[in-house]
Amino acid sequence: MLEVAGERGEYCGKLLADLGADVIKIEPPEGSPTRRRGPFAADRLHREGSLHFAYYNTNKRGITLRLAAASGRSLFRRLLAAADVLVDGMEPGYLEALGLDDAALHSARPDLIHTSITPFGLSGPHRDYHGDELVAFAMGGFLFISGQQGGRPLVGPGQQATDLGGLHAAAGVLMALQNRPAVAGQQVSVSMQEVLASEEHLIERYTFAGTSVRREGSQHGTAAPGRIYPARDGFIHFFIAQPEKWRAFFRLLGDPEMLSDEVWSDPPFRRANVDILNPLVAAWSSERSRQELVERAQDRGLPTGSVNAPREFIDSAQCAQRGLFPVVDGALWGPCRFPAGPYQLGDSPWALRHPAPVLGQDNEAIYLGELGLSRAELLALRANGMI
Amino acid sequence: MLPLEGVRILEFCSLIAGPLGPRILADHGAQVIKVESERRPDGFRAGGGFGGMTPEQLANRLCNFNAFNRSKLSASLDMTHPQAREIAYRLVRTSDVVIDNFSYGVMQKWGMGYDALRAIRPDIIVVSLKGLGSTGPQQGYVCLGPTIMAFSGLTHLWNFPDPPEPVGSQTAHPDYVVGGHVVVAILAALRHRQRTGRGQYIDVAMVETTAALLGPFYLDALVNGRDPQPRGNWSPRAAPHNCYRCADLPGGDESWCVVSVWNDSQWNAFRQAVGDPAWAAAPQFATMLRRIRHTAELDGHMEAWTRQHPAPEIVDILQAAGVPAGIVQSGKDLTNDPHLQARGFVAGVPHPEMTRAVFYPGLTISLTKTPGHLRRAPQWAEHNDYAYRELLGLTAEEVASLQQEGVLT
Repeated sequence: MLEVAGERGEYCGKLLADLGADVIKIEPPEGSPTRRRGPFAADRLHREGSLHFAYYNTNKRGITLRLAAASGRSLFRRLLAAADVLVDGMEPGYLEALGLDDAALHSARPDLIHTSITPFGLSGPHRDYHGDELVAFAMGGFLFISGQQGGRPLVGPGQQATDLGGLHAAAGVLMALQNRPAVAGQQVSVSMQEVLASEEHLIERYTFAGTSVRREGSQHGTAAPGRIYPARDGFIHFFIAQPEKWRAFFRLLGDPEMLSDEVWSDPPFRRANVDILNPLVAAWSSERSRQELVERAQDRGLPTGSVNAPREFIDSAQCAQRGLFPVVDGALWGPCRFPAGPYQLGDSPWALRHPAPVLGQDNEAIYLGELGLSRAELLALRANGMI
Repeated sequence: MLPLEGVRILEFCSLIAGPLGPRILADHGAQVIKVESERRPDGFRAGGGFGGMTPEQLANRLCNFNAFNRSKLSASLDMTHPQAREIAYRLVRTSDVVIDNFSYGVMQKWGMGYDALRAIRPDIIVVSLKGLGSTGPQQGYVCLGPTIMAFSGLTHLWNFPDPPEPVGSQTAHPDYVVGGHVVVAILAALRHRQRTGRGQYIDVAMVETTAALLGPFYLDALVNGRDPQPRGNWSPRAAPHNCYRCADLPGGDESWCVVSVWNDSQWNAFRQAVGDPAWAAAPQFATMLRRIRHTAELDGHMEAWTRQHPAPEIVDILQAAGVPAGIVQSGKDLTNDPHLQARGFVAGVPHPEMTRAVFYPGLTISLTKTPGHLRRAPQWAEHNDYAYRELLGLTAEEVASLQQEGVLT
């Protein structure tokens, strides 16, 4: 697989590379813009020090190539001839403008699967809108429902829309591969806006009830208790829905008189009266530690979670036993613990075969070894700034 | 030809996290047989364990059921009945994949653990989807999307810098994150099976898929020993980069927009598009670094301007100038979004039990030559005849007698 990508194609490429695909990441000679994204190892701004880049490019090989130049594109066509999949995280129309429209791509490789992840998809009136993570969050309907009641909408951390786009694109690639050889090449595309707009029944709820879901902090739409509550040493999340769950939670609370009426076991009643319920729960939970609350609630089968800082999640006994953060070697900053794959496939487990590529690391192996260029040609490409 | 024709999946799932992955596969041609019992129906089936609901609320739940179970078939089977296991095994023999998202131990109790299923179909692919995974000291924890958000650190990070309490999110975002990852895991395992002949066991922890979208935060903690902190709507690399209040809409509804400026040429385009006001020419905003350093002041000026115009107008102006900007769209805005409509994303999926027209999000994965398609969710036990007579070859009498004995309820 070839990955010509800024940030939008990286998670798609990572998922497939982590599953064993030979993903060749093509960077411009000055490096992918994602090499400039923090955090950096030891906070040193260095082209090989981006932890962002290290995470999103595991198990890929890396070459440099100036696609903007005609001679770069002719090499690209030769690379395409040996590729099953092209992962394209560029703006809609970027490759077309370089003369690499779908006809050109498929003449280089007739059964190529061309996959693109863009903010708004490849058709429709907003196709060419300028978008990023924040814009997709807004236009996809997720920002409107995120944030405190009446407060400023608040985007999620990291790059949720971008990565979900990459995730669905990876699924599309695997579907299209499943089709071959009966169906030769085709185009797979994912819109970041649509991936978010498919969450949280926003369209259904509006067309069903005629009103839009609104921001309400962490308060869930139907569950009560169903939000963040204070604990003695931080915060905790309770999610209590069905009547039998409420009865167990009520006993955990110590059978408080004020909530003893059977009417409180009715979920819609509780949800309508969170202003009474929540302060009572908070007064009780704030005197107890997160660990005590989680253990006692989970013992009763009540969905309850500690609001962990990332470090607390990493250090949890569950992550330790499941090996979610194994020690890996090969990065320039030395051995470190590293997030493993998102699922555990028993017969084909995740492994860090090699860390994210150093800029241009596989130029010789690929240009000399696989495309058969001579060393003199390689030197000329380098001298001309093509690689 | 749909990409996944010929793949059969047996689904023992409820609500969103479990049913979503198989639904995406079903939209693209996999045959998904959803197995439920009256004792343990999908939580979104009317009456699925939620008491005290008005007909309106029950209808709303059916609407959710239709969203997460479209394109599937439905068969009823009460796994607690002694005769059910043999029927289930016969279904497994004809299937490629079995997936469940029940609490830890439920499938084992029914004799449906991986070892048992592998014994009757050696190349079966079994997906066990749990909140925190199927091993470890917390394998039995009961988790919904918001619980997972809390455990992973996502809730902690979903906040403005410094306020005492995390804002977090009311959503079940991890349910959707895990749904997509389940699709990738199943498709990868099918490919692995095509090439090796071997099935496998897939242990999916919702929290680990959610964590996969937070990698750089964990690495900052692991490599630099830092505690990553929330950063609101601000970016360390772009300014302005925020959500701004706009002029209220004619009906009095609030309106908001986002603007992100990633380089100086976008900043210059922004200045021109808004008429190059004096504040924008101030030296403290002249470069990206300075704008980032003076973000609070910059945001004040930005919002003073955005407050004068409705969000759609602002976005039209800025997009025309090449500046990333977007309307903070509500459910109503999404439903009426001309772009989503033109793309056919807002889809009707009529269901006989639904008493009114509801629109749903369509396909998120577009394939040009073999596009997926949407069929409504099945009614209760709608495909018992298909599953038990056509697939398993039982006679009408046998099916009737199983029904009578309470096996198929």
